[in-house]
Amino acid sequence: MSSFLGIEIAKTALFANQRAQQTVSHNVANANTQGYSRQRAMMESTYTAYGFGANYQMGTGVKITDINRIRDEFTDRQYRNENSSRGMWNIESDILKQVEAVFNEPSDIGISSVLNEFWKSLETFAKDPSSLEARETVKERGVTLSNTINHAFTQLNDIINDINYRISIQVNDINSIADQIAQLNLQIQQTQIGGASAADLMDKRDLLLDDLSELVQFESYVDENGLFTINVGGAILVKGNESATMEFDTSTANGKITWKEYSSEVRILSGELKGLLDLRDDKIHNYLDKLNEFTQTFVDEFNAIHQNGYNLEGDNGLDFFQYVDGILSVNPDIVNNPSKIASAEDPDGIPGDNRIALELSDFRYKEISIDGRDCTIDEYYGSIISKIGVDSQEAARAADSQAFMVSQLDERRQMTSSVSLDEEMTKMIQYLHGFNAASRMVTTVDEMLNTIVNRMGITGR
Amino acid sequence: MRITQSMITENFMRNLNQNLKRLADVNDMIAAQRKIRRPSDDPVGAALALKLRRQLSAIEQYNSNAKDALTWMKDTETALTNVGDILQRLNELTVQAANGTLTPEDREKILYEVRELKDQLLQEANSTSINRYIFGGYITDKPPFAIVEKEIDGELRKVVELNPEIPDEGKTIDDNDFLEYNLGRSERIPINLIGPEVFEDIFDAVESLENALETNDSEAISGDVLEDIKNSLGIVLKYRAQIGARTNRLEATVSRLDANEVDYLELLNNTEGIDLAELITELKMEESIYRASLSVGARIIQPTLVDFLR
Repeated sequence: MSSFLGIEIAKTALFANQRAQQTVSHNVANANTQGYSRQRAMMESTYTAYGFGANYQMGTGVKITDINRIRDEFTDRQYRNENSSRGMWNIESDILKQVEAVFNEPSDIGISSVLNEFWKSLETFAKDPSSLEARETVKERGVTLSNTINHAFTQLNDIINDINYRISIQVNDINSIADQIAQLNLQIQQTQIGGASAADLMDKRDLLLDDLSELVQFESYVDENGLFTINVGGAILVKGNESATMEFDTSTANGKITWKEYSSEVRILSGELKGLLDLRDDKIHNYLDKLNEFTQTFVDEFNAIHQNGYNLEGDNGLDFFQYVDGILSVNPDIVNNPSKIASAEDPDGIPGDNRIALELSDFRYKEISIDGRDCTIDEYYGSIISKIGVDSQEAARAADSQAFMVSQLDERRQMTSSVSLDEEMTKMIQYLHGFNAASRMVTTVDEMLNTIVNRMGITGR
Repeated sequence: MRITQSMITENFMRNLNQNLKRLADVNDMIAAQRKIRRPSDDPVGAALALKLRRQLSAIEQYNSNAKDALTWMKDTETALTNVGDILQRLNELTVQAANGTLTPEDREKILYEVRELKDQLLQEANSTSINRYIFGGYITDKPPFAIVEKEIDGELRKVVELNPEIPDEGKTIDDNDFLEYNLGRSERIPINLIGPEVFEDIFDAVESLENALETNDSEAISGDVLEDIKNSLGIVLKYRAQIGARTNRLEATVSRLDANEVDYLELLNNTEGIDLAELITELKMEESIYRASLSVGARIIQPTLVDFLR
């Protein structure tokens, strides 16, 4: 046994405590770093199997075996699943609020108010069909109604364009995240092969996974070959250092997201991307359909009545409204000459015969079959607004409760992983004392050696 | 449970944000004076609000319809009152003319006045309400009656007839030419009287008086003519009663609609409006909650062990 083992042991203690102190320092430095998990230097005692000719184990000091990061991976999984769902509802809620703003109901400027004004103008017109002012008002209200409805269509389509734009950005984001994760996988693998821990790299990867979970739901696991794998809707996005690419078809308004490598459609279960696709292909698509149905039915039924009448010039009524290629307008002939608005049931009754004008103004009460049910045109419009309201409310509520859930889970993660300054200071003191004590050991052994070397065997000098 | 500084900060920021959001929400409601600002605030309420607004706008319109109809009634009533007065005078003149002792000059005077009165009658029959002829059925743009020269028994006479411009291209005043106004959902009121129905017999009576005076047929004057003039008075009374009944109905409608308007406004206000007292209280509460959380925030920078180590 070497005489210097004592110093060697103390030296390992000095190094270990110093290294542990550096870890504390690293923790304090990163106390506010996003995605950072606190780290601990793992110490282990070292020993030689047996002493010289003796039957005992001999301690030889301490070593740092690893720098561990302290993290609860189970909660990570839960967090990411809930975060996907939060992302989905959040974006749905955001965009549905925009849809509500398009309709702006209940207010004095929404379609329902403009429609009310139109009905009123028809009533006034029915009172005196010979009055050109009344005719002018009907025409003007008709034009306003057309513009308001067209505006709603345009804005809904704008929202769909915006959604497509967001989808293409998110697909790029996902591809970029997948790429970064694949690179990190490689780095982590290389670091670990060298026997070192890759705590900080893994933190980086976890942060990217958190970001990814907001965009799209995925499963992550380490496969049988030890490769870190991300699976989106049954297809592999990342495996080890390789990543797949999503492609978004921007050539049409309802383009699909496909895998470049597997040439199949990406199955998306949750996340912002799912929310955007849901809005585009389901909810807003549905509102557009309903608004179209509303407009078409309104125009057809109104024109049918109008055509039955005779205008001031004694001619049969024209089409009052025109609805061509999704654009509603008042017949330009009527716009140029409101005398062409039909009011009389009998050409002999011009100009006082108001029977058709009355029928036009009573059209608001007419039960028509729209979309498989019998209701008035106003009621049908009201049902569209209710539907949007219910959808938006549902999304907002779900987004709120998901946000709460996510924050709870994040808190749980923080409970485990975040840096506590009190704790780090305590550790700092602990390692400081360890270091001081080890230094004292060196001095002590030094004194012992001094005794042996300089003071022993001086008899007879 | 392990608590760290960053957890406290994050929790604080989240809660502060939520408190501020609620505060902003109440503020917004007060500023907008509405608790339903978008359908998702209350989808059922929003649909109801749309319906109530619709009904309110309809009530307003029906009210204006009823008021316009009342104007028309008033104008009709005035015309009929005038017609009644004229007929009353004609009645007096007829009774006077029936007296056999009249000199030819007296008869001439009476005849002159009768003709004047006939012109006045024609004027009343061609009355308008806001530029529309009330008695013309659907032909509201042309006077329904006119004096035309007609050959009767080989003699050219000026008689009141349907305006010859009207039957143009087969147009005529039909007995069913009722101008109707909407007073509610499937509730209508005819506002006009059909001119020929009202005036045909009246003008006939006046013209037979004129005729009898010209021919000095005192027997006819005291007999058929007097009878006809009296009947005419009856006709006018009948139509005045009709107009009176419609006026009553319209006035009742107006006051019903006024009451409805108040009711629906209240309903609408209950549905989408705000209770200011309640909201202000809520605002104050949210404000103090927000202030409280801010003062909590000031304490978040707690000392750590760092502060006690030397």
